[in-house]
Amino acid sequence: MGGPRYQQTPASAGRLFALSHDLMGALDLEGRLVWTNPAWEHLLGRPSAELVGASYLELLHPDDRDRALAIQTELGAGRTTRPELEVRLLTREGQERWVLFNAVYAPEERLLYISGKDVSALAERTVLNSRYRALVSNLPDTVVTLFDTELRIVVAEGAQLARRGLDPEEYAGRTLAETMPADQYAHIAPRYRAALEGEPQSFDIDTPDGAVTYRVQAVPLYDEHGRLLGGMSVSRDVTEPRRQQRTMALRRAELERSNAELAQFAYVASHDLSEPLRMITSYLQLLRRRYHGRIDDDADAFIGYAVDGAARMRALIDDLLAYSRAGRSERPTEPVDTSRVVAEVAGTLHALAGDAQVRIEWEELPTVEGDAPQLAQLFQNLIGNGVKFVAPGVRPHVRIAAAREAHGWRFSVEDNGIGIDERHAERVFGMFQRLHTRDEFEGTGIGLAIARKVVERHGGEISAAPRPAGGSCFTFTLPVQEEGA
Amino acid sequence: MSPLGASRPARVLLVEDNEADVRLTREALREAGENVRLSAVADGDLALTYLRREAGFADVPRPDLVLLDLNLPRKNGLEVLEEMRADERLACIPVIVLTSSAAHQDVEACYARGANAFVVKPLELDEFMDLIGAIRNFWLEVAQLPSG
Repeated sequence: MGGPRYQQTPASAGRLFALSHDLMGALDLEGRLVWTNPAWEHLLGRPSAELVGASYLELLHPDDRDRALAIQTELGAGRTTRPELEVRLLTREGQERWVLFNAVYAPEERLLYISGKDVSALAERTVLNSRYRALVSNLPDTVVTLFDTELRIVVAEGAQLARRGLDPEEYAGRTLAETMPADQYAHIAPRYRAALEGEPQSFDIDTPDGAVTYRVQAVPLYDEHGRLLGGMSVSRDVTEPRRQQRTMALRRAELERSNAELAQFAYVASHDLSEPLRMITSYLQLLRRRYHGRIDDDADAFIGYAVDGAARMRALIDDLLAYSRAGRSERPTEPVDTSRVVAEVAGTLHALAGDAQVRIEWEELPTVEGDAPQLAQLFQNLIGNGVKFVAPGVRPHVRIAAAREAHGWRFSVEDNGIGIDERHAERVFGMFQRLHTRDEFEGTGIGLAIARKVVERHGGEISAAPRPAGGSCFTFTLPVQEEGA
Repeated sequence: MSPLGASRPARVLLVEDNEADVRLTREALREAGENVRLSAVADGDLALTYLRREAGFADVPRPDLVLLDLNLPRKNGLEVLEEMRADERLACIPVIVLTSSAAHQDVEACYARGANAFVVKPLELDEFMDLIGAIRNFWLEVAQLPSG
């Protein structure tokens, strides 16, 4: 081709230089271009004739000249022999092109050979786009980093940097290895490289001082031709969520431990306490059977108290077992139509009390995800509670409703019973907690404890409150299984 | 007319280590009717010695029915059952397992080893009395037993 002639170009390599997309050239000690290949003309729109003899510095963006000079000084002082420099060159039209230069100094020729790669494509998408940069720099709790294929940071931005007293400018141009301790680099670098190879990464990493945990996601970046430009990592401060997760995990472990202890205790209670209790009960009953009315009235009364005590102990042991089993299930959860559950419970309670004696009403109730037998027990205990705790002569009236909330359903079970003192609203859910004498209302006080356990095992909450109009209102939540979760 | 015949009292061996339980069973059998002789041994080894008429039991008659607890010292109820079924002299004696455990693996293990029935001791005295009466009526009055 009839291009310009190049001075001092090795003849055998001439074709390669002419073909290369990379900028190639040589500088003399005054920083003047001695020769250039055609790539300069393609990139900058300036003919070689204009470039040769021109000062290299004058081709640079004014802001980048100091850095270039600094490199020259280092070269001159012999502190570096193969410098690298990323600078903006100005085209004939005054546009900026980002070019990454390598250089090697040939002392015998007193020339600096330079080779530059156009990295504008990457730079444009990153450094130069101030709109994205402004967007990113204002993202809370986030650091966005763009890095090239050599794990050199092209840009780092995000409010987190400023909060931690770090200057985004400090990062640009540095290699990843320079910005962090070696062990952290060893953790991150393989993941960034994997991201560059097309496998998006997601991992947690703590800052060296352990104060902040980041969730890092790294993905490759391609240009419009599908060529790899580099990678982007988005690091989100997840310190607080992770701390909460750890606390939750601890609490869950603690809950599981105490449940396991309770299950163990319940097993002991059922097996080891039952046998002696069976003997006590049997012989007390035998005493009564054989000697009732044959000693004196005191003897009959004493035996009667002992028999009652043993019977109550039996009820407590049975309820303890029921409580330890409540909410424990090997069954997978399934959709449960709570309308049907409530209808069955109401049927049972009607049958026990006689249809005319109790009134149980409910609206359309939702289908929730859960364990059907446990939910049946929950409604049985709550509705049964409302039916049971009424003043003498009052016809029990229980109403069940449900309302959709953000994360699930809130059920309410309202009654016209004796109500519940605000001060005892939490206490009623404790094991064997009773607010009345046995003469007033029988029972061991396990029903609401079991109800709470079932609700909590389903991930919900339960509470009790007096109704302004009289009676009490129990409310509990059951989460809705997320669609496709 | 009893299949055992009125010729002699029915003989029952109770293998049970809890003295109170032995007495309770004795009381229940007594309330259920006359004509039953109950013997009791307190561990599995003694039960087999008794049944094989060894050591101090050379003169005891072979029982018509065995009531066997599972949780016993030395040899447990399952082992006793296994050895009885492996011993041709004892293999055909009916064995009722009478225990406080209703664990389903115990139930299966007992039937698999040739128990004739598995019964859980009721907690209430009245029910216990009824149970012992029912066992007595069926096994000692209704069922035809091998001639001892």
